[in-house]
Amino acid sequence: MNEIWGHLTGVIIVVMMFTFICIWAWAWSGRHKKAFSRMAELPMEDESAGENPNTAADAKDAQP
Amino acid sequence: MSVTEYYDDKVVRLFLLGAAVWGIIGMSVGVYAAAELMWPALNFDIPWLTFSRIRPDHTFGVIFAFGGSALMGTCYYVVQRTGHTRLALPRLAELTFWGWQLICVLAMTTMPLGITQSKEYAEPEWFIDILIAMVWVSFGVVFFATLGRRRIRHIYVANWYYGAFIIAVGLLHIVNNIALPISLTKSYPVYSGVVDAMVQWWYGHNAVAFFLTAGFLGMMYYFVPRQAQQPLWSYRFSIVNFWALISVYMWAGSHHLMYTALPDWVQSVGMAFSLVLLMPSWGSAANGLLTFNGSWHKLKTDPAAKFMVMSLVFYAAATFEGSMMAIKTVNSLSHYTDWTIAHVHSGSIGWVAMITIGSLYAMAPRALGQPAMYSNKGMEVHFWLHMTGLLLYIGSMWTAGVTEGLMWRATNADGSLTYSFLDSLIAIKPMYLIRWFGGCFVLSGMVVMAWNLWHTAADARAHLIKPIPVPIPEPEPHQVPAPLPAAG
Repeated sequence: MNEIWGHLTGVIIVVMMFTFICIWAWAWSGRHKKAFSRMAELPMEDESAGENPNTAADAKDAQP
Repeated sequence: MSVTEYYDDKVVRLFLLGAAVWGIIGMSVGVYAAAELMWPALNFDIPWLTFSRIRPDHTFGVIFAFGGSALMGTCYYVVQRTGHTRLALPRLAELTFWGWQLICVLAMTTMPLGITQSKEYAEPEWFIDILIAMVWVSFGVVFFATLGRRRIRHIYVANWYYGAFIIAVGLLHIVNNIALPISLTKSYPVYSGVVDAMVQWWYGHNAVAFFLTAGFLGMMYYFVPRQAQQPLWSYRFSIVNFWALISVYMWAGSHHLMYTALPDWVQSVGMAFSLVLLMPSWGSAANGLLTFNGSWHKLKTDPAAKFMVMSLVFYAAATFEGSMMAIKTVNSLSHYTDWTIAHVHSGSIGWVAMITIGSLYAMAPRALGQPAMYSNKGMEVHFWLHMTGLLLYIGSMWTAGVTEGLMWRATNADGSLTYSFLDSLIAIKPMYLIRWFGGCFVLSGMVVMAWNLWHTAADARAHLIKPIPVPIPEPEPHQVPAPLPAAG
């Protein structure tokens, strides 16, 4: 393999590793904590009056 | 003056119907194909009924027709809820439904007639490929236009996965299907030889990555916390897993071409990336499972939660198995055997189908204006039918695969083969019967789901349900994430 390609692949690996560490740092930075905590709860809002559709007695089985 | 805005769930309901119908069709064809492997006379010497013609109908039917309808329906549902906005371009959204159904009908009718590109998972001919590209771009336009009018500044992680799924599948589809048509029903790819093979498996593997994984992870990241009624275990971890998954998956495709004419170093790259891939895969599986902390009791009463938890277990199991199978020495035993079939169905019936069914059971009552599914017992029956079928299927195919691998590589002292191919076929025949039997269970479960959905949709069919208003609260001081101004 040409020496230049070797250097290039090495540089790309270093850049990718650095980018990956930056993504960790970005995700764990304190300034996002509040927003991410709020986002983690977002799916729970999609309920009708706090009722869980599939654990509530359903229409047919509730009949005597 | 403020006007109440409502979620647009009409197209969601249409895709729900599409998923239920295509699930039964796709799996029926699969059961018939499995029966043909057990009893070959079942093709009745009719060309369009032979295994080679109906096998792509099964894969297209379950992946693109069933899975695609479920993905597009849930995507339209989730992007509205996580952005607190109604769907942008509702007419175009409805067009994507009818366009997708037309594509599925055209593909499923032309492939048995022998009108095919013969590229695995990309069989439809050029005129269907152009339609797919048009509908897919429209799907992307609706999705990103809806994101553009969201009222929550941060884009919820499920949408990152859906967005990656839309962009990557569009790219893969277009690049892999560049072909020169010579007539309405025949075209030839512009690639040739080993380049054609590499492009095909770059597409094939990343169809698994971005259609069967990223898309369904989008589903998982929304419906698991919703059904568990717990916040996502680690939102930060979900972001790291997203970037790791999408950057690693693209490079693993060559593991489908081990011990072929592909350059050896390309095979090794595929193996190495496949091993690294285990980390983001297990990261997402762990994130989903740990989200159930505090809600494990739901598994006693909530079949939708059962489907979700088992789907994550099978996601972890199938991705571990996949990484191991990408190791060259393991691949030398597993390749071309039914072990591959076991692995694929552990991922598809285990992970993909179960997260889909769990999410549909979670979404359907809300989209159909009901407090719950029509029959909880129906869901329970479905779960056990599905689990029984799944275990029969993958257990039999693992046994068959390892039997084949060992028999094919066995040699006598003089170097000749110990067994003929026919010997291995006779040895695994009982496994083919069990596999067909397992498929019947899974298919029965889908019929139960369709029955349950049909009854749950009674009010929707009678136009008795009310649309759901979008929650648009007044912005609070220093609200986090910061609100966006209402659009449109």
